[in-house]
Amino acid sequence: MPVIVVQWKADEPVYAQIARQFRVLIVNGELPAGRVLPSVRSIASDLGVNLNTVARAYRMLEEERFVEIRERAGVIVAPPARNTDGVVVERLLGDLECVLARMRQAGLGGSELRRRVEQVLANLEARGAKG
Amino acid sequence: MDTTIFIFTFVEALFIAGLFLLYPRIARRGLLFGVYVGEEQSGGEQARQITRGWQTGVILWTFLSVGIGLGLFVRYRTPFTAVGAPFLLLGGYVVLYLRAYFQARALGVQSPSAGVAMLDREADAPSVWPLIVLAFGMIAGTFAIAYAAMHYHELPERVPTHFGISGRPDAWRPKSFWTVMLLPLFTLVMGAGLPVMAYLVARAKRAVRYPQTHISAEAQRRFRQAMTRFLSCIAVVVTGMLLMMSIDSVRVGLGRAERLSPASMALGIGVAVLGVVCAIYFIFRYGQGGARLERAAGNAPLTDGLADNRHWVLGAFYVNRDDPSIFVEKRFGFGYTINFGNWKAVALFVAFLGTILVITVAALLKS
Repeated sequence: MPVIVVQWKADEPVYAQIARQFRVLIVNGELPAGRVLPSVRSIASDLGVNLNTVARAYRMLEEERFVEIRERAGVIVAPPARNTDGVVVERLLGDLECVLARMRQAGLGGSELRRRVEQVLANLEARGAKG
Repeated sequence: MDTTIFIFTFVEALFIAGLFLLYPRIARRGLLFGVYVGEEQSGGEQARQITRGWQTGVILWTFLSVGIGLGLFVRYRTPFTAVGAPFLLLGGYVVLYLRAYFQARALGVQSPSAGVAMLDREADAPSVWPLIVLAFGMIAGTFAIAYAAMHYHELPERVPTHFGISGRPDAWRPKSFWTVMLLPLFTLVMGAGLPVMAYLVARAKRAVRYPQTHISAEAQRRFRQAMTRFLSCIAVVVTGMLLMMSIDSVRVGLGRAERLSPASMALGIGVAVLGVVCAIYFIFRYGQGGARLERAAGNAPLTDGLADNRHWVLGAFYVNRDDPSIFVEKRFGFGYTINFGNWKAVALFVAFLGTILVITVAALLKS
């Protein structure tokens, strides 16, 4: 059974922790496309957090097209988009550039950085094939 | 008659004391008298000392208060002394609990552990049993009120208001709205209130261990399902008993019957037997919140509300304004309590108890 684990003392806000773990579970295939996710109330009740905290995580995931929020059916895991959205891709490339710059600042050298990024890409492809 | 009450009270006192003595055996690992002390510390020497102090206190206080009750009963022979003994007993247990709680607080885990949400949608699943029982309760309550209202004008000036153990009326009062309608109104309130409670238990807050989450989650799922069904059964029997008694008291008032019907009596005994037998069965089969079914994961830390000492007042009242949960598992004891930080939970609690109190007080004042 997949679970979301929140660390109360982490610097990362709770909604961001929830959203991040959902992304990983969806990419991993543990939450396949079409799967209906638990209600906002159910997750908020399990964690003992405000409804808005969970709703914010779901809205974030909806904006990133990981899920679709339907009035009656609830929150459903969305399949990867079939057509590339140029605007979204440009924005994400900007984000990636920022992340790579931060990794370099954190001390990862050229070849090491390249190796790590390739590893992440290989993992993603393997998960995609599994999913 | 008074002797019967006293014997009943005495047995009840011993039963409660026995449960309190055995409590450490059914408690969730990691919890100690309403405080989360961690799984390792809950089995340590300090925890054992606190538990031993509690057990010694319970034994001494039980014999002392039963002795006081017996002495007063023999001297004055009033029902008050028989009824007063349990209050004395419970008052002492509260003091003993508070002593143990404050001792356990010194061992409390300071930083809250992780929060875990399960993505199985079980918490969203509809609970069919309570809804069926709610429909039955509403029909039974409405029928009881309609039956009493239909015969109101035929009833004599004095109506029976209390029945003895034999089922025959032993108190009569002048006819009024409250003396006639007390039982039918109770039938409706209990018929609606108990299934709502069962429904809320089915959707109560979950608290699991992490890692090995699936073991404690499954234990808790089975415990909640059993509790929901048990409360639904109790709701049916209690509502059925109140319905039969409502009809019987009108029939006795009209002179069509001399005493409560065998069905009312059987349901009355059924409530007592079902309550005691099921309580014992549940406690030893499941333990606190399903603790006896999750032993394989007993060393994994508790998470969520049960593990968070910041949200528990005196280890007994869960107060978390952010948490939308209405019912939460008790930290000390068996079953569920409400989230006192959620206004909906408090409103529901006040409405249910308040309605019973208002009906009772109004009936006492108006008759």
